[in-house]
Amino acid sequence: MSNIAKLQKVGDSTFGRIEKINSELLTMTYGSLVTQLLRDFEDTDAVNKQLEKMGHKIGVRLIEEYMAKSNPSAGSCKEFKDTAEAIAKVGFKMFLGFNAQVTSWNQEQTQFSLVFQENPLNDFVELPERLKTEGLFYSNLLCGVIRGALEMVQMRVECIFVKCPLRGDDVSEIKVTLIDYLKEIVLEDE
Amino acid sequence: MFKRSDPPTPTNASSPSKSVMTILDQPLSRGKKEVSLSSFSFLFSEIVQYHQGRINTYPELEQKLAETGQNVGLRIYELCVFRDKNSKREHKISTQLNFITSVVWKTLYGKVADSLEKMEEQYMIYESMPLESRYISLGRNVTNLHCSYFTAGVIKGVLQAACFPATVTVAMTSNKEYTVFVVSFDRSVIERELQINK
Repeated sequence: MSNIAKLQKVGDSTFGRIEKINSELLTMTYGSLVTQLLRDFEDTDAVNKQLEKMGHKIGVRLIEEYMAKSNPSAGSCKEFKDTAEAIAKVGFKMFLGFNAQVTSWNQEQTQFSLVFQENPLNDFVELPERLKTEGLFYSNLLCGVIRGALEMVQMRVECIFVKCPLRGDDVSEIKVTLIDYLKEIVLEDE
Repeated sequence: MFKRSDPPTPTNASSPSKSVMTILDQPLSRGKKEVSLSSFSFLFSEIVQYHQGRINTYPELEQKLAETGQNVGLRIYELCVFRDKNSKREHKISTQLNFITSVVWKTLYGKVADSLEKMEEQYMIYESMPLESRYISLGRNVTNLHCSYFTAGVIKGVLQAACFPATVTVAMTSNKEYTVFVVSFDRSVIERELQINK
């Protein structure tokens, strides 16, 4: 069985096991948060940043649940290449209920794109023209989640939303670029 | 390469030649999609923390959470009514509240509320474990904070959308077993009810 198919199986079985709720509660709560942020900040770029920041905090904690509930040996994040597939097939599946595709690797294997069609956060959403031109990335929280989670497994990455169906694109695409590996520093006993 | 600051290409934003599929052209989803409970819990925790940094007192925080819930309530009401094929507009308090504790509750929390009671002019909705406060533990110095004000906001939002303006507060039963949402309707709603019952 190929590695991807194996990961997909891990994702499916993990998602089957964990406690689930109707996606609409998440969708609407997230929508409510975004509207509140837009009202509080009155600046679209600041909202993008705030969403990313909140996502980062979620990611830092979410990785623990990922490790505990998925089969860690199958969904391991040792190499950047495996990590990409693990995010797409296990991470997305177990938390949001859908799979993403990994595409567009660069030559150095340090950059890839996550492409997905469905996204429960986007359901029922229509962006006003003003926010489209000002560049709101509605689901920017996801970028933060990926960055936060990977930071906990010693990878510093940059995540950028490049395509979003709410802005007229056909799919969602998040570009993930590896900056460097963080080193674990063990403090010496004094 | 695409950068954040790049303006979106106009062809994507609005081209008159391409027929733009709006959300209203798509069929209404049946609402069977599921996500992990922890995704919601993580998000809710971030919402609480976000508001916490911007308020001075806990009642203000509860107010903010209620606002978040209210936005959800306004929308979920519309969605439930659209989805329900033989829905009619409720004009009585009791049927409207039943709609909330059954249809709305089921859509959001996957179960019906534990019970609904009337005491004089107030109505109480009992819920043993509100989803949003499931993974919330209050700090040692925090005694009087109910994060369930989120659900109180949802109830208020639904009632508002259905033209039943009301205030909703949260209390606990003395044995801490149930969270109680106390609904007090505006004078106008009570008077209308009396008219209907005449």
